[in-house]
Amino acid sequence: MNRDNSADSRANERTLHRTFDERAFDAVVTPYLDDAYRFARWLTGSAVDAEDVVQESCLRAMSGVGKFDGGSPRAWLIAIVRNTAFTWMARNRPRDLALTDDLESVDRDSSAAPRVASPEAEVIERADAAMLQAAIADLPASFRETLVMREFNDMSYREIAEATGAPVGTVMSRLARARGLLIERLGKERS
Amino acid sequence: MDPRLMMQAALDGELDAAGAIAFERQLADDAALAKEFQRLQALRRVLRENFAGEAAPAALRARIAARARPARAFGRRDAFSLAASLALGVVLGGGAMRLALGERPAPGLTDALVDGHRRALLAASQVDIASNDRHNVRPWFDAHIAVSPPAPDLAAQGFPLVGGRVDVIEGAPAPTLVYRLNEHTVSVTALPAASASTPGATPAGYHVLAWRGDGFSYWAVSDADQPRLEQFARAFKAATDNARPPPQ
Repeated sequence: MNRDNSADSRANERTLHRTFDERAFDAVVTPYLDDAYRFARWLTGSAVDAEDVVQESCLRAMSGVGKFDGGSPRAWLIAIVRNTAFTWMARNRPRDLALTDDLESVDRDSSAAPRVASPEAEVIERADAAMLQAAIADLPASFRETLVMREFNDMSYREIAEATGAPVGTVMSRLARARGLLIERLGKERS
Repeated sequence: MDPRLMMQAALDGELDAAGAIAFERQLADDAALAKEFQRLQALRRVLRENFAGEAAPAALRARIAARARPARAFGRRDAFSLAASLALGVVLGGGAMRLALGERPAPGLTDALVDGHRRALLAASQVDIASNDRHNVRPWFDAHIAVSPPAPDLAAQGFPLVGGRVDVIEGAPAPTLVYRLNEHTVSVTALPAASASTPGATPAGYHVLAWRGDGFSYWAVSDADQPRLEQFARAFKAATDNARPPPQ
């Protein structure tokens, strides 16, 4: 019992001495570290690079935590990871970044109907992880990041809009295009 | 709204009640739309099944936590007491510095040190700062955790410096130097001198050596064999002893 008490008082002492930045960091960064890592993994395509990007992002978040002005903390952190990943890729893997697509032309035909006959739902459900991974990796960057935020980070349209700076309508049309492309490709591979 | 966009919003739970009802009516009336919606649901299912949420690696979380809490139990004040004990060390001379080879540390501490070493071996990079130049490593520690243990250059003795990292030992950030011993790696963690060094079991395959000096208690962990690690510890101790200002 004594042990518990002393552990408690030590914990209290720690709480009392915690700085504003530490508390802000715990509130805004710590709960979303898994999200940040997951997002960075999909963006960089590598666990090793994702660790670098997330660590750098968290340092940036830490120094900029005073600038967080409400809204969704997850969207705020994901936006930092997104920017960090871009600069990180530009510095370390400029070749991969050279494939950056023309966002405007990609978004413009976002409501185009699928061109080929669509596969049955059962065909889609038979896709395996490797196939899905390759299909997602081949999506244009703006579609991929939107899809990842929605499917793997479980972010709302509003959060995705906050993180990417795109209007909610654009988020929706990017999701429609991303999913349309994935379905089309899975249908082709399985037929 | 474009029905294809509407379908995304329906799938993602972004429609309000009125919108959801309107969408259900549309689905009931339009077989092609219903098929398309089934495809989207199938895609959702297959994505979730194949990519369950992956958590951030524990080592990454620990590294970031260490940065967020700089110098908690080991702050600027300790730097002053370190300076004080260094001065005392000068007075007492080398005799007070005992190379406690064979002395085995407390169980909890040993485990924590070996875990830190293992984690680093598994991580993308064993070090947070990679540098074979001690003049880079020490300021880095000072800037990050406000404490910088001596980082002797042992390249000439066959132990090149790889860099430094911050481990979390007993809840506090601890500076750890990384050296190479042939194909092995040794982690040297500098703890406040007050840390106990009572016997404890070392996990199979690892060797742990402890010694004191310069107000620190040093803990070397490696999977290199014991004699080799002892050789390293002697070289390290000799170099840090020589680096101290000569006694008056």
